[in-house]
Amino acid sequence: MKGMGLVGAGVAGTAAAAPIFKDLDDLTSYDTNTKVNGGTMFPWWVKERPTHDPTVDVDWSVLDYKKGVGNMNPDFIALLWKGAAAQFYKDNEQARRKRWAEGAKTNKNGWTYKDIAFGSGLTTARSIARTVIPLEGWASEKDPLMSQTHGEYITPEVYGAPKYQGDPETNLRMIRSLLHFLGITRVGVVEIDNTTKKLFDNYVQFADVDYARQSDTSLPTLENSTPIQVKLFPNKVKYAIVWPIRQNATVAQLAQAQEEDGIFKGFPPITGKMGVYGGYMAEPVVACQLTHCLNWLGFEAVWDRRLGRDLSGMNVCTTAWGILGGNGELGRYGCATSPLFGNLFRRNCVIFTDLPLKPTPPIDAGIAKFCNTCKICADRCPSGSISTDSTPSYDVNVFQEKRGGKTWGNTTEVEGRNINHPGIKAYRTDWQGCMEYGGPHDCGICMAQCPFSNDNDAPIHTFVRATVGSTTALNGFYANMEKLFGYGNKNNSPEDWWNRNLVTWEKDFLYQKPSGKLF
Amino acid sequence: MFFIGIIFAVAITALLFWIFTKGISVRWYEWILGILGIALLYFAVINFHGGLYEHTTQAAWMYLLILGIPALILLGIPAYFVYKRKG
Ligand code: SF4
Ligand code: SF4
Repeated sequence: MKGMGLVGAGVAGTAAAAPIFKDLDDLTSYDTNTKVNGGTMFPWWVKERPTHDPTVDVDWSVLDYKKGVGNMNPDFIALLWKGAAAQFYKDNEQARRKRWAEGAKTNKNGWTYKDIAFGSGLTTARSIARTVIPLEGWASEKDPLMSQTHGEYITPEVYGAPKYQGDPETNLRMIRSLLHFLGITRVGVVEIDNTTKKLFDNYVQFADVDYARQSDTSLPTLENSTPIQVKLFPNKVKYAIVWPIRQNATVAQLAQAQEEDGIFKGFPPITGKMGVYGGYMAEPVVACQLTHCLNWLGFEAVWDRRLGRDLSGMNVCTTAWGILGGNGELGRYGCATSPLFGNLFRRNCVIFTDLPLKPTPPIDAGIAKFCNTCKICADRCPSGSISTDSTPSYDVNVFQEKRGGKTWGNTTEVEGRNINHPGIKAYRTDWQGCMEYGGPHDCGICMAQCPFSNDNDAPIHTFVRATVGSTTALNGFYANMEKLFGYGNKNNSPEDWWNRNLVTWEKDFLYQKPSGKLF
Repeated sequence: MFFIGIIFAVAITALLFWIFTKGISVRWYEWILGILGIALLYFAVINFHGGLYEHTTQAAWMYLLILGIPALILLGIPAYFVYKRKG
């Protein structure tokens, strides 16, 4: 890219007083402060931790996703289908229809047909996006739809260009620069080594292949569903690029249960879910764009998602990768919590690549310690599916007793495997309890109610977060203040949101704040 | 937030102008209390404004109450002493 000068001689005089980008390489690394675009990209109180050592203790000699029923792996999907066939699922669907019919009939705030139509419309659009955006799944396979342009495969050699060279830190800045342009303000990197290989399930096999593809071997999944083919994952692909897609905080705040009685009791208005599905839609779009760019650069890009062009794909627990790459800490509610937008992670997205990248370590913003005293998500979970313990535990069966040992979500019943992974010292979630209630589809309260999920317009939030990141001394006080100050006080009106002043409203960003500013 | 800053800047300038042109004597500890009071009042107002913008109305009013009342007390003490001396 050298020689593509952006500043010509004619503007040299004016450019003398302004930042000068000599070429595209310069543009991607214009910030000479290595602590900024090559650093954590978080405020000073967010500390870096050693590699693969997040704020929850992980016993890497025990943790192995090949032994668990991993979140999003085919066994888990099979479990979801089992749940979907269960009576409670049908009952939930009936109850939902009743709520929607009543809301639409009475024009109930947050449940009008407009709310239902738009909440559901974003949901179905997101499902279609996963199928029709062709790069979802096996993006790196030499597929005519994906990797060709004007009838030729995309490689630098086609254009007579030398192989792209860049040191790992420059490459990280380049990827961050691109993704920031696409609306993503924080990007991390995790190295695939013998430790992180434990985060892949049985359906992935590492091999000396040029690009990721299916093998000839199939493995059965649970419940005798169709066996699926084992994926061959190239040994040369050594890095995971991880970035969060967040939910819009204002809309998320509408996801609060507002009724004490009747059929709406304990269920938040559907308007509050619009951020969820808006966010889901963003993932395939951004991942597709990044994948194409990496392919053009001459590198592999393997996306984790299911439903690729061959209706297969490779599922990994993206939360784990996101936490190891420093996007957040593991929160009490069972997924990642960001120092800047709390539980409003619509998704930690992952693309695996062979582009050399500087890994970014896990972070410590004081969140895991704050969870020990906070418990707000657990207290407000309508189904009691989040642990209320005061210390995390390696025990994966904390909800087993409550369920009389009979559960498909949290026991050793499933081929001796467990949906909550052994080897992590964490607070456990009763996934079955959540699903039986109708969550997360009809709920999502735990995401909106976290103190870290609050928007950042009142400067006091920054003050509190900086303190929490530095000391645990005030954690109990802050958690109580959160309740006293009425965060999550059920007063937000979806109808007010529909009528916000669009001329002055600055908070309709789908992914993250466009400026990248944190507060 | 920008306009809150402007309003505070104008009000502080007017206050200082009044103190110096009228030759009002302000003791060192009254300066300290006054500066702390203004800083706390400013913090109360920007958090009130931020809370309203976040759609967290109860929190907004709590900030005004919990931060604003001590701010007014801090400002009231030097104002009272100055008034007494002047009167
Ligand atoms: S989504 Fe599930 S875990 Fe979260 S609050 Fe609702 S029922 Fe509880
Ligand atoms: S609500 Fe509290 S306990 Fe739950 S994840 Fe957030 S900080 Fe942790």
